[in-house]
Amino acid sequence: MITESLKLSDIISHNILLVPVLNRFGIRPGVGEKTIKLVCSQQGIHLKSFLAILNTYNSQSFFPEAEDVDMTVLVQFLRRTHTYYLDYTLPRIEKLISQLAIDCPGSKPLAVIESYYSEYKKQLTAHIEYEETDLFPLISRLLEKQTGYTEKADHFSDKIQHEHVNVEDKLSDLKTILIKFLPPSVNENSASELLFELSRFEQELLDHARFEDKILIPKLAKMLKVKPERHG
Amino acid sequence: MVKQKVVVVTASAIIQKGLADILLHSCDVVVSQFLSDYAEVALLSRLKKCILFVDLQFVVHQHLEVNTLKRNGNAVYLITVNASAELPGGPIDGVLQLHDDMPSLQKKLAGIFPQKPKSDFDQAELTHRETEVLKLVARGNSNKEIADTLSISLHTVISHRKNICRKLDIKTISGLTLYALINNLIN
Repeated sequence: MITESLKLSDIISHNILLVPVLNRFGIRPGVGEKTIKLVCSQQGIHLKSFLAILNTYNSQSFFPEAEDVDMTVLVQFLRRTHTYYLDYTLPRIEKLISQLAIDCPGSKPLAVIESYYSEYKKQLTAHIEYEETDLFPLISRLLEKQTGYTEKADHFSDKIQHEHVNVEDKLSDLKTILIKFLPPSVNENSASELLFELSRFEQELLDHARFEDKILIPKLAKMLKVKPERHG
Repeated sequence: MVKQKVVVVTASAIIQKGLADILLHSCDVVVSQFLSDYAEVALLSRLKKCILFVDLQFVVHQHLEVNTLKRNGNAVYLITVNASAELPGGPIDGVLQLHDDMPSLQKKLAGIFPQKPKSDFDQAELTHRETEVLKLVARGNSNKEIADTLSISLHTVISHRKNICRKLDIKTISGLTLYALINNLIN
């Protein structure tokens, strides 16, 4: 378990996959000998939320406590995560698939995979846009107490959880099919790079969805339900 | 058939955890009980027709004898460093050596727990009927439409779909469509 007294450099050495997660807090490698506590206080990062997020990404068995996570920090983190997916991960996977297709001109499986992925990318982008334009602004308004109870909350919960399962499953299906049916003529290094990237993204999406389903949505529901009683 | 009760008798945490893990993964056997100290040894007399894995170290330390352990029809396998280890009070049923590697350990365990014939059902190819259902799913038909086309019940369609997803390890309709396209089941 990652605690505040540990050195950030040790955490990164131990799990290099945390680097992109740290980036979303404005932390980049070149962290010196500082402990997590010091880095957080120097950069004005909410320590408990930071630890909860880092631990969730670091271990599948870790389950964050809702009260440890500050809603504003979480929404900002999720927004940056979305940007990372839209600007980096999704285009990168697309590029890797296109590269495989270029290497094997006229391959039917790759053409089909390209179009599957392009559909997938559209779907995930739409899901992210929905959260960015509908869900997060609602949370901000609630936090600033500009709005109270709204019927919308119940829709959010079901819709979002359902869509999460769907985007995770579709990505996992793509990986399964690539493993089984990539044409033997593809460049082996490009193929393994693509599989690495897909696996990593699959895991990221699971962790990301865990936050939204288990922390964000319940916290939102609570905010929405508590309001009318207090004001009513 | 009554499932065989398996008891591990040792104070060693490494042996307890290690053996339980190997039994579970290699033989699908769950250890029913661990006896690990003096107080628990008294329970030995109550065990009937069990398979006992007994740490030699523990036996020596607790002054146990084979005939005590084997009473009530228990089978006794000794866990020890030395392959030719024996116990006072009679012959034992077998020895697991602490330095056995996985293949030789699995071989010994397979002798103790006859393996169920391995089902290759999960790896099996799709049946003709399942392939028909898959094609219709991939073309975007609903379960009801598939049932009507193939003149089978809705329940049967759902059961076929479950089996297809399990066999192919694919969870979504898009994934099934991709599978069907790549394998030239549809155009």
